[in-house]
Amino acid sequence: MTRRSIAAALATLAVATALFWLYFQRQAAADLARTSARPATRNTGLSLYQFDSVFTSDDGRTIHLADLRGRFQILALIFTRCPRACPTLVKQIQAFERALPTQQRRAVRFALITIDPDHDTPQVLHAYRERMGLGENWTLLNGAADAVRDLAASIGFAYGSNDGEAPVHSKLVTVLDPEGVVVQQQLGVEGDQQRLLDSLVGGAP
Amino acid sequence: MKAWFLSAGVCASLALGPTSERELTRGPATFHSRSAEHEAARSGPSAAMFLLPPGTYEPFFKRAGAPVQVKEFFLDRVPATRSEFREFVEHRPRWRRSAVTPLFAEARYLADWSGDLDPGPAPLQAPVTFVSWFAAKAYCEYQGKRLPTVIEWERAASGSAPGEPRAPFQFAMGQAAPELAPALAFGAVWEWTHDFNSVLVAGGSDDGPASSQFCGDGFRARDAKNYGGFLRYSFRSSLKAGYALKNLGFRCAKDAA
Repeated sequence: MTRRSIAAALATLAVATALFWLYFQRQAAADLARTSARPATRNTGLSLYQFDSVFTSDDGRTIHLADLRGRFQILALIFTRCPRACPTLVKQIQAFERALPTQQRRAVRFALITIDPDHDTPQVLHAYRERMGLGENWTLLNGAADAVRDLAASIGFAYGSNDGEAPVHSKLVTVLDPEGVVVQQQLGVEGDQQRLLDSLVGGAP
Repeated sequence: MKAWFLSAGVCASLALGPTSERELTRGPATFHSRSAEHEAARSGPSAAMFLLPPGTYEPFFKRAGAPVQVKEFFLDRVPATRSEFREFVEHRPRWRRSAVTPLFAEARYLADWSGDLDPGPAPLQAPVTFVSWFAAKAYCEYQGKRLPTVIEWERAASGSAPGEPRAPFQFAMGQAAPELAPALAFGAVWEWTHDFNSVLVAGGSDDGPASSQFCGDGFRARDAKNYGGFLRYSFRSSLKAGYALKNLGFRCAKDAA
């Protein structure tokens, strides 16, 4: 083989590699875009990110809900003293997270907001994160009672004090699209997981 | 620059300066309230508030620690009217029908109005309906008031017919408790409350492991024959804050002292 033909072969190989690399990048980007895409008809006037109340994350940062924009969010309202239902719910959501295909798992984040802000300070939430083994793709938020009531009332999450006992509340799980619009809700994550999964690709609920 | 600050300061002090007193009546004594610039602009009959005395209340659901202590508070005699709401949206343009954010009021917000500032042909003194919880809250705040809690509202409104131990269906929208709040008028509309979403009919976190969404599961009413109460609590549990419904209005409350 001449040096020329080797050079030509290497050049061809380099070009081919570059082309393949570009192709796979575009595919990955398209997959991510498809997962994050919302139909053009979605009314962003319904975005929960229009609530401008201030929350505090478990690592002490000031967070507005709008800071969650850009990815699908699976949202649940819980409190750390909850004896049974909340830990079960969080574990179910974690199992759902682990079972997600890679593309979806990269596109999705998880958010927990406490309905017991006086007790569930950011430090308490942080200990809860460690105890439950929640990764970096989970956001834990503490907000004022009124801010939480506004958000909960908007999405249909019911909770109330049980006279000094643990607050009673529903097991509602809410999926927000990257613009903060509710696209799916269900009670718990034990039953129909396909609908949850489908809602993460921007399909109609 | 200085002139701007000066004129802004003059305008601000004019706006915040003179206020009018509005008399709030209760049983034995009267309560005087100062309110802000909107009070001077109010027209139409001044809606009186009624002071409910402190006391205990047995909530609809059996709860640990019941009965509940309720502090004294003021409650509007009647639900907010269409003419009062019109005045509110005149002063708070972002609550006008054409401007409101969909998150805070669904598409049917003020559906029976003819325009942003035109309540349409229905009587102006009738309760305003097709209003969302957010709009009701904003109205009460504008008035220097707040929405009543479920407990407060129920205490005032779960009266029954004379001789009847409990409220039948026809009092589902409320009946003034005669010994507590005779001056209050209920029954025209369902009414928003501050913590309407504190009502869990079923599917709650403290139900057993086999909890479901069925009506009978986890429902722990104190009085199984309080039909009016059943209807109200079921209705509340179906609501979301953005809903604007034909027969759903509200009235405001105010802390005493």
